[in-house]
Amino acid sequence: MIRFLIRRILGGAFVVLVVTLAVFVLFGPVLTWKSNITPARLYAGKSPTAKDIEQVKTLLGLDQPYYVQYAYGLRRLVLGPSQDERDRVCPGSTAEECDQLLGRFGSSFAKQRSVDSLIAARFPVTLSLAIVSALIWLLISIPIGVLSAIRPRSLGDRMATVFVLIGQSLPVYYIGLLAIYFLSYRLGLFPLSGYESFAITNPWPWLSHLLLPALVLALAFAALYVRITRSQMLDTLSEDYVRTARAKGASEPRVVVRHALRNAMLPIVTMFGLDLGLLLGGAILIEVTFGLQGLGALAVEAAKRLDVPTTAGIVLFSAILIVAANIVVDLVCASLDPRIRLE
Amino acid sequence: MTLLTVDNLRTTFRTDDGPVCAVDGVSLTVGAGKVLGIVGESGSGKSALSLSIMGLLPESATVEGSIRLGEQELVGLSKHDLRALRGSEVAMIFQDPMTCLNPVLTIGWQLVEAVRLHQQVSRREARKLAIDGLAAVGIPSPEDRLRTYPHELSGGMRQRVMIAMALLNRPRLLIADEPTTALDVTTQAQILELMRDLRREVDAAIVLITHDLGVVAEVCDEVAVMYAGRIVERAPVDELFAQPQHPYTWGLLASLPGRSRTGQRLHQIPGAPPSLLSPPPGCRFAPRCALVLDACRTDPAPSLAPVGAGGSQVACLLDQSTRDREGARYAAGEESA
Repeated sequence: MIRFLIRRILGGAFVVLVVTLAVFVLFGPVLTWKSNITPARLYAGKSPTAKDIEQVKTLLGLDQPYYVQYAYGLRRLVLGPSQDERDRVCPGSTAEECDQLLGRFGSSFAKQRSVDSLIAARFPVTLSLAIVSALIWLLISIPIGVLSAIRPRSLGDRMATVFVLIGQSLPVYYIGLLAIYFLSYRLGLFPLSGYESFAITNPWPWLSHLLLPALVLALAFAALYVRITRSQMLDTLSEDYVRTARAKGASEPRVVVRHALRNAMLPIVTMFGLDLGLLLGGAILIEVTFGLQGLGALAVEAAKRLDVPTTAGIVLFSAILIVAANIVVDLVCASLDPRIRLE
Repeated sequence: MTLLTVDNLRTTFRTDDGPVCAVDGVSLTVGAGKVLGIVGESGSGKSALSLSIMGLLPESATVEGSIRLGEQELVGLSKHDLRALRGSEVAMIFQDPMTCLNPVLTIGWQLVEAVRLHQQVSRREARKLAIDGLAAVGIPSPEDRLRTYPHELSGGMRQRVMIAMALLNRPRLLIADEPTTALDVTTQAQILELMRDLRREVDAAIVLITHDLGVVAEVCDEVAVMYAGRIVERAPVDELFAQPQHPYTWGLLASLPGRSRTGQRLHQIPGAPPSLLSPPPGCRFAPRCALVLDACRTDPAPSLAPVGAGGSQVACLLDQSTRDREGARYAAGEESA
C-alpha cells in the first residue's frame, strides 16, 4: 500500500514537472515571440520608457536566459521565494507584507499581489461550490441510475432518460439564469448572487448562497452520472457472479447493493475524481453566471487583462489538483477492488 | 425415491424476432442420490432447462408445465418462496468459476453469506461451517483461504469453492451446469472425482449438464440427450453407450475421440442445429439425419417411447432393427459415418 502510494506520488510529481515546463514555454517564450506582450512591459505600467522596462527586467530576472528563468521558477514553486528575491522585490518590508507580493506561483502585474494570495482568496469559493455540487449530483444520480438499471425500459427509466437529455442539452448558464430569475428574483428563495464565507456557527448564509449555483451545476453532472451509473449497473447485473448471488437465494436489494453496486462503482469513482479535480480548477460558467468570485472567475479576469502570471498560476494550480485527484482516485479504487493492489 | 419431476416443461423467451421456445415439452425425473446427465450441444436448451428449475430466468421468459421438488410444485411459486428454496433446497454450480465468484468480496464473505441467507446462525458459526465446507471439497488450509479473494485462487480451486458454497446448506437437488468445461484437463479430472465422492456423501439428486460424453460416462447414472429443446433419448448410462438408439446420439458418440480411430479426423454431424425461432416440423434432427424417413419431416414429432428391456426411451421413427444395427456400430466406436 505504501509503495503503491509512493509510486503514484512520484508519478504525479513527474506529470506536474512536465506541466510546469509546458506552462513556462507557452506563457513565456511562445507568448513573447508571437506578440508584443512581454512580461516586463506589462509589469512596468502604462506607456513605460525603455529604461523602465530594462529595470523591471532586472528586477524580475527576465534578463536571464530562459533555462535560468525556468530553473528559478521551478525552485520558487518547490521552495517558495528565495531571500534574494525578497530583498530585490520588496526591500524593507516585513515577511508578511512580502508574502502578499511574492509567492510560489509568481506575482500578478495587474494587481501587484502574489498569485498565491489571489488563489488563496478565491479557492474556498470554488472548493465550496465543488463539494456541495458533487454531493448533490452523487445523491441524485446514483440512486436514479441504479433504479433505472434494475428496470430498464420502464416508465421510471424513460423519465430518467428525459432528465438526462435535459441536463445534458441545456447549458448551465441558461438553466442558471432561469433559476436566478424564477427562484431568486421572483420567489426570493435564494440570494441573487455572491458568496458568504463558511462559518461553523451559522453555515446557512454560506449554504444559501451556494445552493442554487451548486444545484444548477449538479444538474448537468447528474445527467452524465445517471447515464454512466445506469450502463455500469446494467453490465454488472448481467455478470455471472450476480447470477451466483441470486442462485444463493439473496434478495434482489441485497444482490443489487452488496454484489453489483460495488463492482459498478469503479468507473464512476474514477470519473468522479477527475471531474472533481477539474471543477476545483474553477467552474467558469457557473461562477460568472452567479457572480461567485471563484478561481474560474479569477482566470477569466486575468486572461482579459493579459495578466500572464495569474493565468499561468491558475493553470498550474489546476493541474496539481487534477494530479492529486488522480492519486486519490487510485487509492479509492484500490480499496474497492482487491485486484488493483497487485498491479 | 423420485426427488425432481419435470413434466412437459416449456420455456419460452420473448425476443424482438418472436418467441423462442428453448425448452419444448421436456419431461424427466431424478431420484435422490442419483446423477442425471443432460447432454447436448450449445443452444440445445440445457442451460435454459436448468435455469427454469432454479427460477433464475430473465423476465422475458415464461415457463409452462410442471417442476416438482418432492411434493412441491415450483412453477408458479412466488418470487419470495422460490428465493427461500434457492441455495438451500436447490443449489447450482456454474460453468465458469473465473467469473462466478464476486471479484471484490473475500471467499469467506461469500461463503458466510450463503450460510446466513438460509440458516439462523451466528457469524462465528457460519464461519465454522464455511471452513468445514472448504475442507470437504479438498481445499488445503481452509481457514486461511477465507481471507483470500477469488483472483488469488486457481480455476480449479475456485470451482471447489463454488461447489463448497453450493453444498453449504445441504441441498436436496444440485444442478451443475458444465462444471468442468472451463477447466484444464487435469483439473477437470479432479473436480469430477470430487463430485463422485460428494455424491456418495451428500445423497442429493444431481443434474449434471454437459456436452461432454466422457464426463457423462464418468459420473452419471442416467442420461438424457437433448436436441433443439427436446429430449431425443433417455437411457441408463451403460445402455446409452452400449446401445445408443437415436441418430443424434450416434453422431455425438462418433464425434468422441477414441483409441481405435487414432490419426483420423473426428466425426462431425453435418449441418447446424435448427433455429428455435422457426424449428422444422416433425423431428428436429430430421434435416441432419442420414437415415431420415418421409414421416420424420411431418408433425407431430415422434415422442419418447420405451425400447428394449434396459429402460431406454427414444423419440425416433426408425424401425427397431435399423436402430439396433446402426446403434451397435456406433457403440463399438469403430465407425465414423
